[in-house]
Amino acid sequence: MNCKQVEKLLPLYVGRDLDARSERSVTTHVESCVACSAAATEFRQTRELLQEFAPPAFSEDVYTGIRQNVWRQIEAETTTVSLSELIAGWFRPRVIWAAASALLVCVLVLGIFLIGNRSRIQQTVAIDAPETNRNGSSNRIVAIPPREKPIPSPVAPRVEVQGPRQVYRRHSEPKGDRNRAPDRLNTLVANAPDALPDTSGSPRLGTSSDPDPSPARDSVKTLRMEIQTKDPNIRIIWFAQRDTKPVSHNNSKGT
Amino acid sequence: MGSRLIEDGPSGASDMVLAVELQLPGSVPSRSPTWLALLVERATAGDAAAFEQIMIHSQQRVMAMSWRILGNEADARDASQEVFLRVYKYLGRFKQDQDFFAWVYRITVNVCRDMLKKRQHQNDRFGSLATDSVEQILEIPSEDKDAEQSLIQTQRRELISRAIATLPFKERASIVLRDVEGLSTDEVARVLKSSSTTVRSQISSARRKIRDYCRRYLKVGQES
Repeated sequence: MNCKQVEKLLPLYVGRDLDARSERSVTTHVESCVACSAAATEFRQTRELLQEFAPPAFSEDVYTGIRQNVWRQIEAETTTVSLSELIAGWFRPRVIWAAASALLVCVLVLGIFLIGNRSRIQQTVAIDAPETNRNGSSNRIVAIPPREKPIPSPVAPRVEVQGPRQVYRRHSEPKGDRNRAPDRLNTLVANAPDALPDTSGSPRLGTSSDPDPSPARDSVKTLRMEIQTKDPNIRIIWFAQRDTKPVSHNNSKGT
Repeated sequence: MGSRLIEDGPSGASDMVLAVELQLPGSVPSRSPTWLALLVERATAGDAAAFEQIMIHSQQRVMAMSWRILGNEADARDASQEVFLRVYKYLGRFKQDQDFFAWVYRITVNVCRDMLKKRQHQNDRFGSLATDSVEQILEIPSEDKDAEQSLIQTQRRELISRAIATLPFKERASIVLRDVEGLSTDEVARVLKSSSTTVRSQISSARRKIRDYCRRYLKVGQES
């Protein structure tokens, strides 16, 4: 072990903080080296100074004062703690209440959101179908007479079916074939239970229901049949091309 | 006598302090660890007289340790109060298989560290005391020649105090516990919640720095 290594170990050596093997090595070196021996002495003197580093003798009054202050603070803290505990007691399960409140707020917000959306959807439906039945049953069937040529009209020649729409679609012809409205009406009458003719409102068949037939109407030559269903809002109007032969009442329904 | 005092002691804190003072003036009684463990147990259960006995039994160690780390009486007094408050507050956490004084030392070290941080903050604002010259240390006025020995003692104490004040806190705590309080390296490691290797390193560094500080100022003193 050389001087440099020993010099590093001297602070621990003087306090006997080295392991036995290192301590023996340092002792051997210090006994043979004057410089390291002087350094070790210096460290020893410093350590002795440290060991003599005693505080001044404090009077008993100092200790008494410390203890009294401690008790005073303990009493003050106890009073403060009991007050704060009293107040905190009201909010003891704070976490549970906070979680419950948060959940309640979430449910309320979700509910308000859903209700708001629902009214918006209803408004949209109302805009799409302003003539929805007041009774809730939306069995309103309106058939617009087909024309030779479809002409643009503010009232589009269409069949509006509310409610049992899927039932009708199964039997309906392909979309866009609006010229075959009479056949479709037959199908509708046959398949819609609510659309069956009322006994009181029997089918009326006439060559023309128009009270004031104009020459233009005559040129069209259409038959018009109206069927009033149980629902006063549902009326089935059937238009058909007029045949040259006279049409009897019995077979007109089947055609 | 002491045990009987605890059993018959008044419940009020201030009355009890007076009673203890009358029965146990001044000196710290040397008692067995079992007696101390009993005191701790009773103090944990809320016995104020038992806690008063604990304070009396440990006040000198706490005060001395605080003074050695902090370097002045006023801070040491404040630190001691805070230490006993924390002891009272956390007495329920103390385990009976632990060394009570090691536990108290640990609290003392923590309190002193907090106070030093606070003081460091204040020194940053109002200037550090560490800039005092060595002449201020060595030229302590003495009008009485009979007090020469006392003067030398005071000078040495002041020198070591200032040397310790230059150390980082961990080294300061290690060297005070090891060389001044006389704890073993392993005990110091337990108090500081550190490893023995780390503590040895801190002690080695601290001894070297103190040696250098003393050598420098003693040389200056001899020249002047």
